[in-house]
Amino acid sequence: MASTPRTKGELKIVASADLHDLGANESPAVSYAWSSWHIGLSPRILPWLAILGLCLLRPNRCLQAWLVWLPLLAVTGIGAGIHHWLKIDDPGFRLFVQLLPTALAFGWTASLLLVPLALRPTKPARFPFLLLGLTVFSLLELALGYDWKEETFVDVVCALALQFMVFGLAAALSLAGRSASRRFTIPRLLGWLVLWSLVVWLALAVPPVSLSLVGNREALYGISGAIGCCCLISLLVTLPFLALAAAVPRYRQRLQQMAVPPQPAPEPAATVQRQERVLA
Amino acid sequence: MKPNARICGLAGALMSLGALAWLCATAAAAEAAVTTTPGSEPSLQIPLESQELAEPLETFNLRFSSVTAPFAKEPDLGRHRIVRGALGFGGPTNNFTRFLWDQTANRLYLDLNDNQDLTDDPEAPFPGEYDGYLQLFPRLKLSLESPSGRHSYLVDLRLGGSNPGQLQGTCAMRSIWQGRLELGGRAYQVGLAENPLATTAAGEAHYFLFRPWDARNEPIRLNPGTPHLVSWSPKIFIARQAFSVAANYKNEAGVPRYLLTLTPTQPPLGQLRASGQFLYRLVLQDPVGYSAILDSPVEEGSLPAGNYRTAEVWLRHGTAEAFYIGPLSLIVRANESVSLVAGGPLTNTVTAQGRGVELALTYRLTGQRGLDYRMTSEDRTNPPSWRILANDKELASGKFAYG
Repeated sequence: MASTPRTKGELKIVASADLHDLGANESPAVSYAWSSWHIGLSPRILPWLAILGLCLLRPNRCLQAWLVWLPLLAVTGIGAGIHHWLKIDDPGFRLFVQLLPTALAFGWTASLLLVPLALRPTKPARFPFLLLGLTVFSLLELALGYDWKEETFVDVVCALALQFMVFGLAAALSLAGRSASRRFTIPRLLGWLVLWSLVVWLALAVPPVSLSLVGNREALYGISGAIGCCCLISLLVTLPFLALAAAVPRYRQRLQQMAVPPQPAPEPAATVQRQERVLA
Repeated sequence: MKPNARICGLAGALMSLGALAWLCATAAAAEAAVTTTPGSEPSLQIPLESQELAEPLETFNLRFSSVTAPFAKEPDLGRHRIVRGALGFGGPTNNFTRFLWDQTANRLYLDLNDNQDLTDDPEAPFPGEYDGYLQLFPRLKLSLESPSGRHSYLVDLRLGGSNPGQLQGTCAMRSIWQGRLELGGRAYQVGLAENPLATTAAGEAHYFLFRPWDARNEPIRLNPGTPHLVSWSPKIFIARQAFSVAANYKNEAGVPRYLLTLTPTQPPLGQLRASGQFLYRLVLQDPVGYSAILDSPVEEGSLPAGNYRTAEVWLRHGTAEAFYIGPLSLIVRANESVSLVAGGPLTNTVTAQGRGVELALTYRLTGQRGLDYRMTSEDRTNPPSWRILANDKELASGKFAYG
């Protein structure tokens, strides 16, 4: 795959290989008309347009709401930067460093933007919302932001790994929110999130590790490594979004609404007195 | 001379003559590679001998059966980490060779004579080498039962796993069976490569070996390919002659031997006119008929009528070699002529396809008819390269990636 030429117009492409007199070493030049439309029509921008669309919804039309772009850009930029600078041409490396973190960051961003529309403060359905929001937008980014035409085994592993990560994150965040509900602070939530992530990923690891124990030890190492990477990535991707929530009150409230179950409101004292009078 | 003495002398002379005649007849039968059956052309019978190859030919997965009980007699291995097991090929048999693997000393003890005594096998133990996560035991003779009898395979054995339930391994075949045949005044090397996974005796011959005798020292590699081995077929057309082929294996008194029998046949023939440069060998395969091996010069000649579906086109020029293996439809009718355009020159070909912000470049090495070729000497660490030009100025360049 050639990187995008920074030009417009007709390109000539030539391949060459030493054929040792069985034919000419250079191929006939192939013409290709390159235009800026190729960039404009790229399906890769669709997930970005989807996030932009969510930012234009009524509850998000303010400067504070648009700050959600910062953690998203940070995660995608760091992932792309590491992949670009290290130049490790390995599908597995790209999967864990760039594709999965970026997809998960899209899921996080969309979920935070959707909270005021999808969750009422009293509604206790936190986990389904988290699972649905993270899944839909993560898979959207993965499906459109990645070249699926090669249909390699890595593609299947990629989609499966993302599903596990989304489930693990949604479950760990719900459980962490429940644990931190009495005195909600971001550091407390983070602490519980780390703990519950370990518990959830250990639970998720039981079936594949049991199966690999029946097989060979090399598979066990591979599966354990992959599970560890998935757990670590989901926590690392979460950090910038927790930082956003710590810095911006609007997102602190949304995170609390997303993760912490609604607390029963204390009954007003006047009502209690009235009831006591009725009983008397 | 007395009459008795005369009779004795006559009898002695007759006996001597008889013995001489018997000796001559026996010697003639031993030398003959040609046998005749009434009403047909003589069959050619070629005894084949096993020949070790310089490098492995084909790799097969091994089956394992766990053995935990100690052998009746084992070498003293002290506190070494050992694994006992039994290995065999993939066929539905219970035929295994039991072994003890000393993982600490990296040695393998095979119970080749199947007597539960690991101290009386003359070649054991076999020293191993580390080869990735498997241990390699090179040039090891495995003796296993097959549908036609007990075979001895020269293999590179690779073993992995730390307990009997986790054993895994492969064996790479390192030998073929070969003999010499003269056809049309030219000497050829003929033979076969075995399929140790065969479940029937007929399926044991996997590849047919056929090449000029002068080329017998060329290396044989199935990866990426060799022009000199073709898939086994009961009917072959070689050196412009048609034969039915049979390979019979015998293991008498522990001496294994194959006898290759080529029986001439008279199929209806058509004419082939092949055009294309650098043609070295053309192999045309009719799934229900003949496998025709046409050697250079292949421009014009006869071949059995049939519906050929697949082909191998081998090109050579100097030391360079390229090949196409795949579908190629060719119908040859009796007493009719057919043209085939195949071969060189080869052309490097690139196609470009826009994928969003990227440009996907695909490389192909093509010959006549647009067939895709591969170089046998391809260096996968140095793949073909590409350049993108705009107004004769190079914008970008790089290497293609295999995959």
